[in-house]
Amino acid sequence: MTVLAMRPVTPGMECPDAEIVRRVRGGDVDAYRSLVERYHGRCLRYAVRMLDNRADAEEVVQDAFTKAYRYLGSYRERDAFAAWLMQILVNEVRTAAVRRRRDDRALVSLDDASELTAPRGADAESVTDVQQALGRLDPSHREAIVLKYVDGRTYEDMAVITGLRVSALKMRVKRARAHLEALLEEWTDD
Amino acid sequence: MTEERWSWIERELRRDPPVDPASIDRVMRQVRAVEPRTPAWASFMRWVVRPRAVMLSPMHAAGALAVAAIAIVISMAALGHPSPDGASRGAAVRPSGLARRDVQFLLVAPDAKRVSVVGDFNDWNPDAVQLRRTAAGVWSAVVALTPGRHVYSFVIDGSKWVPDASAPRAPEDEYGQSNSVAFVESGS
Repeated sequence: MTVLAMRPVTPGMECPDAEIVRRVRGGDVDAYRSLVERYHGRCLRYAVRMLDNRADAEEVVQDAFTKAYRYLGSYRERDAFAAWLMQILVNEVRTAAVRRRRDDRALVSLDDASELTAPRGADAESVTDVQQALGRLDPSHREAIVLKYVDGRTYEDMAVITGLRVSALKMRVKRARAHLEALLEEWTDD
Repeated sequence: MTEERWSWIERELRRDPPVDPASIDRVMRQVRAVEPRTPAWASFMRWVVRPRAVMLSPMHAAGALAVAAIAIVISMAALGHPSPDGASRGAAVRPSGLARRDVQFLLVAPDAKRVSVVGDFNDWNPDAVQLRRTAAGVWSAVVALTPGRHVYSFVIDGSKWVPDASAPRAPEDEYGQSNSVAFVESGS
């Protein structure tokens, strides 16, 4: 145990997550930085695709890391830290999305907002348009697409993260993909 | 939409947004400002394993041993005998080796160019089971399904999902889109 505690946690060196977590639990707050550096990009990508707003995404990712640190005592080492962190992030994003929809409703109806964000013209060949199409999906469908294709999760991982059954997730992904494809084709045809 | 086009979409979506190093610092500043919480069970476990002095008389020790022995005997008896319904407790027992039964799926869709059936039996893959146009506007396919409950839907022209109007609806329609349910009986 003493030897483990003496080993430096250097960014780039593949120190196992569980070892870092043990050090943080032992009071070494700075060791947590290694986990933040390791997963920040992946978390940010998920949040940006889900919320379509960099500032909101940054805030949500920050809150997720803070919550993970605060409740690190509840984390069980037999689970992968990355999956546990992702569960927290998914919940934070869901909460942020609900809060934002509520705020949006006070200003403009969702249907009107969707019309305003649809891209114009025939060119759907940019990440902006794909992101906009993603934004038009039902939030649960967007979550399924982002977890599966953006974050590259297996259905089993997704089931752990979302609390849904694998079969339900497969259905959700297929529906979401069909809807996304239809939207992009529709915009390309216009 | 072609697979090539879909691969392009995936690549675009996977493109990492640039990470501002300052945002890592912001996270760490916020982390340092909070106190980690100790879960209730950890506090309880610390209380349980905390060393404490215990006075034990020979009579108390004998009583404790007797209680432990009775608990062990009861546990072994419970593990050694199956429950009255033959199932082990705490785990679902699925019938194994059940023969599949042919189920015919029918959809009237005169304007459709292609129709497929998707469900929990084919991982909701629209390319797995294509229906054939058998009469004027009637599409049909026969699928061998295992006995039990199956949730399914039709997909028209690759993107429009429609439930089977002649079948019950699945209750897990939690996002405003319906599926249908097929109950397949086991053969006798």
